Amino acid sequence: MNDSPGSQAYPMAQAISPAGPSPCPQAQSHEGKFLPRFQGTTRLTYLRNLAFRGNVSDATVMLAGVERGDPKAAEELLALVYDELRRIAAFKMSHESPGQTLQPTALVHEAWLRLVGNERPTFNNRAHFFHTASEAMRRILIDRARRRRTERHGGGYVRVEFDGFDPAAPDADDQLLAVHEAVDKLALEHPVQAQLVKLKYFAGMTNEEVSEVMGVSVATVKNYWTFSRAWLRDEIDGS
Amino acid sequence: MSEDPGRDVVIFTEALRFSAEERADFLDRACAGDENLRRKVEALLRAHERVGDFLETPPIETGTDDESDEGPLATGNSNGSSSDK
Repeated sequence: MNDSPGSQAYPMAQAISPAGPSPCPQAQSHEGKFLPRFQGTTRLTYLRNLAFRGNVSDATVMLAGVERGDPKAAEELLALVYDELRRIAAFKMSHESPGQTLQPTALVHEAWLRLVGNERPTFNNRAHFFHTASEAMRRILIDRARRRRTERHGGGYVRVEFDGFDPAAPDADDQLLAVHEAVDKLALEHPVQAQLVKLKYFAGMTNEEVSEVMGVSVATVKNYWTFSRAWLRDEIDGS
Repeated sequence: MSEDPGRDVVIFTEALRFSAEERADFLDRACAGDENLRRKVEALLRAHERVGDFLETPPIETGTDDESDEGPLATGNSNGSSSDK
């Protein structure tokens, strides 16, 4: 992937990999080299404290299990990624200025780095991870939208906890939930296209990233995306 | 990935390359009498016309919640994370 657009997709993963399979906190003095895109001490401290706390090998073990077709491993990986995404989002939201937009793709890539990125993963591992992360992101967003909707509809005692995910307007929540349901229907007829929607819409990935993770050309990604949007629009409009 | 994307995907994608005037002829040929398929593709083409910026923005915005004092690790909901659907 030397000069392909995809090589820009995971710059941090490439930057961190020279640390070898078991980077340790002693590498701190070289952090400028390993984590070139991080600026400011807050995030560096955060990564230093949390990046190597044991989940790295957990995720890799789970990914190996997923590749063997172990359904329990897939479930565990999803739970792990789900929690990690929420932690990262909460951290970002408590340390960055209010009103800043939280990018799902940045969250997913950071989760990748923190859970797997320094373990020299295989192509399949990476594909499995990003598919899992897009599903985790979808569930986080849906959970959030449902809680907010419950709160609005008279369930005011249900406290919406702060976790950084904030599809702001009621309309946004309604659209999110409608898309969520429609994507499940799309998956029955067109599983590949539904997967693509999860990667692009829920995980915010670019066409190039989706192309790499799904193993199809960028042109195909664009065609499937155009098709899927029309399909979902048609489904939601009920025409 | 070599999965067959399905005839509706292929015909819809191909139909977009034709102008509105040429499209009916193309659909005649491509659907070859399969009325069901043709209705499906035509509905998709109509939906495509009104798709606008639908789904172009990922569904996250930050809030300005004033509850941000909980700290990064205080908010994890580690249960139920994989059972919900």
